[in-house]
Amino acid sequence: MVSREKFKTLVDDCSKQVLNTAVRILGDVEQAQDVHQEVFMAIWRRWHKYNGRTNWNAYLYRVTVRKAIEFARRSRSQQSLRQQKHNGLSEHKPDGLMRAAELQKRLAGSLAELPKRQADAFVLSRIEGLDTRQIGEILGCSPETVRVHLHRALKRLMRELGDYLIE
Amino acid sequence: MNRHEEMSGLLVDSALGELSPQEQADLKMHLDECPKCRLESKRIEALLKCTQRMRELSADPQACESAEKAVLEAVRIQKDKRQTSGSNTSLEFIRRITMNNRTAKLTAAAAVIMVVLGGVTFWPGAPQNGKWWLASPAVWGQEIIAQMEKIETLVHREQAVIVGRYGRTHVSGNWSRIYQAADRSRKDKFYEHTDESTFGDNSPDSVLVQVTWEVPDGKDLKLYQVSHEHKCYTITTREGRAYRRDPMNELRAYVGKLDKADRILDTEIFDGRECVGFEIDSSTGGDNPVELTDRIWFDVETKLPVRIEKHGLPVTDSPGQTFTFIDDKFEYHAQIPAEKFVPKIPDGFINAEPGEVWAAKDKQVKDKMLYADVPAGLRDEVAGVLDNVKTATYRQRVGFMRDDRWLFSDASKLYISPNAWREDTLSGEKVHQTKFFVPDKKYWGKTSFDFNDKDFKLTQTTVNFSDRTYRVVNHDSKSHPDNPMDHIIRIADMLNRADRFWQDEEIDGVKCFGFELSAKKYGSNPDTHKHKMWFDAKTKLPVRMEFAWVQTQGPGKEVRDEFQWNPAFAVGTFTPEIPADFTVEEQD
Repeated sequence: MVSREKFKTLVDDCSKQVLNTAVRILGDVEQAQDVHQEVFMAIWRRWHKYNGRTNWNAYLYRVTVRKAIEFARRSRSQQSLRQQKHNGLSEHKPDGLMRAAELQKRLAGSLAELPKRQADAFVLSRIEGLDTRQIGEILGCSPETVRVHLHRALKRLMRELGDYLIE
Repeated sequence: MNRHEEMSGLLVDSALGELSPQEQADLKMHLDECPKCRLESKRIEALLKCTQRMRELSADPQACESAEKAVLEAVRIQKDKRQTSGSNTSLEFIRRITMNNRTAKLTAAAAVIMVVLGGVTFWPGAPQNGKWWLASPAVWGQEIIAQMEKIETLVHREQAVIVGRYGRTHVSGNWSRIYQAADRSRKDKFYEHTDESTFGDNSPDSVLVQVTWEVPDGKDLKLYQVSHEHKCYTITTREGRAYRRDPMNELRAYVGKLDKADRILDTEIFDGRECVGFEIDSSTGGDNPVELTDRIWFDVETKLPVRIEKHGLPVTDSPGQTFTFIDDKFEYHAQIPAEKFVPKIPDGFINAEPGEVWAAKDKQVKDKMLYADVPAGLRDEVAGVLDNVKTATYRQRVGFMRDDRWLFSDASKLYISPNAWREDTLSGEKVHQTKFFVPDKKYWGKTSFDFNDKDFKLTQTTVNFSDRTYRVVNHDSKSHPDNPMDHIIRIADMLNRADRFWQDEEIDGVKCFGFELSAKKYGSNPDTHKHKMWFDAKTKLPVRMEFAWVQTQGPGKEVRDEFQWNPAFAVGTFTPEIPADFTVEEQD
């Protein structure tokens, strides 16, 4: 199979994972599509360097989380909830979404201020729902180190978001 | 640490599901009694509910299909463009295709243009008042790379700064000048005793300590290292390694990293030239993640790098400190005399590694040092705990032994925050004098990155309630006193080098472990200078510190105790309030 075909296979197999991870962090599908393109174009530019042993699942998680958080850092505002409803987001609970969207915006912004590893561990644990062993495999560290990152991330986010968390 | 502090520390553990059933029950009982912790617990719950909602989001299948098509189209365009141009151009334009679907806006304005420049991606902007760094990235990046390709020789200076967690900076006395040409290099290492921020630069006090040459020898590369400090030399051959090097390689790599730049810094003046800076997160992962940040400044006029700072490099055996390496004073197209690259070994120098010579000398000078068996990982646990300390108070006293009894001076009470601190000197129970140490508010929260800030000011206000006088001293970045917390962290970091270590000692009713360290372990200090430190066995926070010495009149020591960690301070704790009838004491 020529390179481009292999790349296409990767895109076909992994697009959903990448897009959904970006959507969960950014809460906006159009921004998530930007991130999706950045992720795959970055891979395409280095395609000749990848060997057959790349763990794509771990790699894509890592790169997508990183790029989504960078995107949140660069873009200072996100679309309003009204626009989100027309942007193809699948949501399960309509109640309290206005406040939830505001908090989510704040959280995405705060994630961008965390040290990289703390932000990665927090997103993979709390938003992607992975356990510390899985996160350790993705980030290339021990589960204990993941726990330390999670602790620190949670404490810092509590400090950053304090007032926004009061009901 | 009191019960409340202990329980509030468990809230995060509870949220992450890491408490034992007993701890969970204890926490629940505390929450029933403590409104502050109940509120904190609710906040954590709200945050985790938010993340749970985020977890439930997903894109619909059409959005996914659209995204896939956009990527494949972009790849096709890129390949077509390459084939048409017939060359591996350093400029590529990639446009995200906005597909015609119900989830996306269809206008051209919705497309995001990313300019890819040999691996460098810039965000688009427009030139504003001569600020070219916001202009079209294609022109800017192309110009820098084109300039760099013409440069065949380079000279620059390298220096290191040690940074404590609370902002204390110490410029290393070692600095180097590095000469680079196409196939050879030389590094001259100097030593100069510096105060807080003077940077060595061929001053009369700089002493040449070492010269290293890398020069070709046929197909091989020969490394000559001559230590003037230890009067020895080594010669190493790297077979087949002689090659044509590019002095601009590392600088070009930095330009290439700018697509990951996190922000543009305010312009600054370096060596009389206005420069614009970029900040890049260069953190590493793995089992020992390291948070690194690079800053690179470009001359606004020439667009060449003027200064590079690499922040956050770990200091071996000192988790509370980091290194910042600075490369500056770049001379491009430098005229380097040929003899600079001719290795010279002075007569009488022995063929030996400098480290071996130093170790032999050190062993002669100092007695055999003791190293206690400290439990593995304990020092890092302590460092992690101290990392979470934001405020502290403690008592400090100086004592002298007279007739076999310790006699202590009046105590001081210290109040510490990351930015400001304060020392109350007591006379009995009454405050006799207060010293406030407060940086300008605009520097609060600043990081180690700003140690070279020439406008930095820390104001020390001393209010003497006995004499009814006050005195104000402004310290700049060269002379400011260190936050006491930095010192505590520095000593705690030396746990792994302890002479003695013990467990199960009770201090003020708290079960502690402790260590003793000879001050000669970290410098040319007398053997009679010793540090002792005790930590709460449960919380790993310091409980007591002693610094002992011996002088002609007999032993003396400084004692710090009655620590409280992360207390809440009243508003105004660090705001000097000077009664109207106090008179100003003139400065010396």
